[in-house]
Amino acid sequence: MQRIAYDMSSFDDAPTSIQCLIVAAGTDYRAYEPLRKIRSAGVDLGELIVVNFLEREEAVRKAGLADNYFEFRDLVSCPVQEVSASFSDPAEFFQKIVSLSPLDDEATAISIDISCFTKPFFFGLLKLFGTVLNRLVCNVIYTEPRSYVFREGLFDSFHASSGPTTVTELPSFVGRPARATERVLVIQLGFEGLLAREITEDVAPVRTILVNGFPGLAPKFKDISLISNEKLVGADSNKRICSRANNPFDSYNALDSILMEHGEKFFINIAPLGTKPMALGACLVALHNPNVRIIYPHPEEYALEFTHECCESWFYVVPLTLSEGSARQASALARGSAYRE
Amino acid sequence: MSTDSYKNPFADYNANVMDVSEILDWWCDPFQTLGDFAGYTASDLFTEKMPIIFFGGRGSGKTMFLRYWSSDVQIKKLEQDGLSIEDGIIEAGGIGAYVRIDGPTLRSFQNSGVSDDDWAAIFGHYLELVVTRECIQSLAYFVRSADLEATEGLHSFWTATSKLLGVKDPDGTSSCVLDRLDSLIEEVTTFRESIPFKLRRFDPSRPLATNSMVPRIPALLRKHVLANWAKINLVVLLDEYENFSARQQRTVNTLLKFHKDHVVYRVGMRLEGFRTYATVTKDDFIKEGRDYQKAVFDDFLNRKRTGFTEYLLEIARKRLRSISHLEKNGLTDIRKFLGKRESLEKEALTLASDRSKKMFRRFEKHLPKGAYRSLHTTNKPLLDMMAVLYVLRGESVASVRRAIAEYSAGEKTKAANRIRYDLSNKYKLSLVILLASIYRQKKSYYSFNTFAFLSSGIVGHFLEMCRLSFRHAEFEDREGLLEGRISPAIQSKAAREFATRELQQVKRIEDHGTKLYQMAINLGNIFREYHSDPFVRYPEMNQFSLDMLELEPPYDVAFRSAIKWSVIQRKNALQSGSPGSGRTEIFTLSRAFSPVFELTYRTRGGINEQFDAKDMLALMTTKNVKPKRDLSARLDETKAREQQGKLGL
Repeated sequence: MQRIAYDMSSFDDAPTSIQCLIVAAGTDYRAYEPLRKIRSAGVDLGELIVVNFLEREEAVRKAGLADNYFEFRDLVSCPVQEVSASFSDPAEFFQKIVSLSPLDDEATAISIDISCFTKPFFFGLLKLFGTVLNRLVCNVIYTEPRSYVFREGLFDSFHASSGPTTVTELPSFVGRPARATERVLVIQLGFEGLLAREITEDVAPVRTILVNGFPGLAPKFKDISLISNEKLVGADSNKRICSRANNPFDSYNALDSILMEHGEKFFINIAPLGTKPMALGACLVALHNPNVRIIYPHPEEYALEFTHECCESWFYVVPLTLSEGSARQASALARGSAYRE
Repeated sequence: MSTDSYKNPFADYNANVMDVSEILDWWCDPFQTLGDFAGYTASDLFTEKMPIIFFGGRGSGKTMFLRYWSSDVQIKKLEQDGLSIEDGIIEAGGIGAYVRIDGPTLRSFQNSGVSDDDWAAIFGHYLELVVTRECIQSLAYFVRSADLEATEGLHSFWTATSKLLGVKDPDGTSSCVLDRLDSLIEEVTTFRESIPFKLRRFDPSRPLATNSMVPRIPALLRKHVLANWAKINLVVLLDEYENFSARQQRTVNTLLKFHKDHVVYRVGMRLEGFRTYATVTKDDFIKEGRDYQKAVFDDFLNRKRTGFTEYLLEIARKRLRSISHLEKNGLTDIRKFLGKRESLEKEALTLASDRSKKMFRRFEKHLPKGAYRSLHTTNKPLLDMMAVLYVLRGESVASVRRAIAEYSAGEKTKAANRIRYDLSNKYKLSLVILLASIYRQKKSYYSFNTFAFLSSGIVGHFLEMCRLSFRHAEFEDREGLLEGRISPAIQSKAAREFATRELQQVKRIEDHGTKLYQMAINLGNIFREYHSDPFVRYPEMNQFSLDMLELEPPYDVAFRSAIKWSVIQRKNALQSGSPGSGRTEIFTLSRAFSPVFELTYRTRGGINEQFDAKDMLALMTTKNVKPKRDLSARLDETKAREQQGKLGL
């Protein structure tokens, strides 16, 4: 196991300046919470890049929520670039953003708020930063929701997405099966059991490991995810483990242990259906271990609003590679946190 | 009694995730159990030259079937039976290579700025590599397991194969071939990994065209190895063909059409899994009978005469036997747990309980005064309901009362026999469903017979209902479960949960899931209205007729997707849409959804709802579509008598 340095702190203790921040436009209250905090704390923000998903904007306009959606324009005084993207074609967005200034300048430190990004996009962006834009570390911001939207009771009624779903590999996270044709599927459990079932059928693993977010962002969430995935949880052959729902490094460690145990013999597939911090841990594991494949159910449409209000905003310093340089830089940025295995 | 050894016998049943031992443990031979298995014998699978395509709904057992014939399972079976592996494989006449490319991988061969034609070429190259690898792997496993490494000519076979793949200094081993294939596959993987970030050309070190490598394997084997085993066929068992895109299917279709000697293809796919019949050759198509043969799982599993229930019993028996507590206590017959068949009389009694007047009150506007006193029979709610129905249809209370008296006395008069027939065959289930609607309670779905019907020829449905029944019973009545009892209430809960989940899953179907969900909801509600008709004019209607050729895009594709995902099922022969009309295609809403809408669990036939393209568009896109017949109107007397005549009253 290689040591990685990390830092996880409240965004309230964030650095006094941020060179370049990328956020996704959204209507959830948490979408611009870091921007509000930046303004109230007087943090020096160099440049803001807002990724505007065209499908989301269209839905927002139809729903008459444009004011919320474009609130970022009133929150910052720095230069703002709006970059459009389509859920249906992440590659087009990645190929476009590669040459976007100031991202193309290796001296610019990049921060990204993943709260309102869909997973295919923030996974791809982090990989792009590490492999194409030659960054060693990245600052990641995440704001916890106060609660999720459950439309009809707690169980089987949460939907972050709707409509038909296609299970796909995340762009560029294709893994390398080599001779290990038998698969182990690791599912970070979310609230939508049907999606996990779809993925299991598509991947056809010889072994399935379920990772539940515990402690959860709220006490009941860990139970909702177990009940929503009852079929998988109830299968004796499926192993169950936990990792903290708001800590990507806890998630990283849990996945790293799985890799240590099964990585040599099996083709490891990870389905990040849990919280975004858990998914961030999966993303880092896949960045550090290219043999790992990331599988995700790609929906036809995402729900417009699926969280209510917000709680803590977190600030993570994540190493994008396992190189010495990454470790050094992450250590330098890590304020008060130690190396962790 | 020690019950520590208990666990849900139906917990894991997805063949995709089973290992070789589990495949052997759970295998039930359809050739033996079902008798006629689409006209094929086991040996045909290895020796029949023409490709055979096995169609079947999700969960119908295709994967289990294909995996069973793969080399690793067959060799393990020969080992278990203490037979010679070499002789066994020679006798079978072929060695099976199971090939499954998962959906996420298949879907990665698109977009990212690469043209469709380029992706098609890259995929053709990749497919050739993957199929070749599985064939080589199967051969190598056979050689190793049968201890045939020293066979004369084998070294030169591996050498020649390696050279074909561009290895400069081959060492004459299977590992050398497999390493080379892995590195060629890795080139494709690397391309797929990098292409989302940067557009570039795919430049493989050894490009392979479709059908350029696989047919060479048996040819080289025959050329270099003189042993008998080298004359066997390579049997490519290609699963989940429906996941291939139209362009990818063209590549596979080309393999099927232009298959070469000693390579035979067996393909598993969902119903309506063909997205195209075209090949990569311009204007060339594959055609059933000429280029491939077809076997439909659901067809022969869904018919009474094929022994589907015996097949389910055998599958369940193997599951139950695997739990030592159940095996020790002789609890290996699923009918012991679920009951053989439901008791509609008991259910009706429970529904009506001591409120027998309610059904008469429900129709008091249409019944003469004193009907309850004249027609009611104590503790016979079905008979009461039948009597009400006769009167609603225009018979006099006096004649119905007389008929009931004759029936109750066991007489063999015409009137008594009619009641006997109507209550035993014709209307019993309809009446219970109607009673449930009148008493505002849920219809129960329980018993082995009911579960077999609800599963509609799809083994996976049956297993899931059993799994849920056992799971609920473990929590709610563990003692009863361990003694071989699961109450009707628990079974019903399981059937309803299963049905609800199946219906929810429809929304997520990648091809037009939203339309299909709307269609299923509308069809379910329409049939529900027919089932609640107080005059029972269209008993147990759950079928409809439609000319698929009338449908326009995208509704034609959506409709085929509904068949592919078993949301609806096509009857295997043309039937009359309604009495007196011409023959047409008939479809049934999957009976798996019946508990959601409180519908019959069987298919009775007779009168169907007749839809055209406009109706189908409405069913897929609008809410609250109503039945085509006006069910709100009360039958007038003449009409009622006419209708009664048709129904044999």
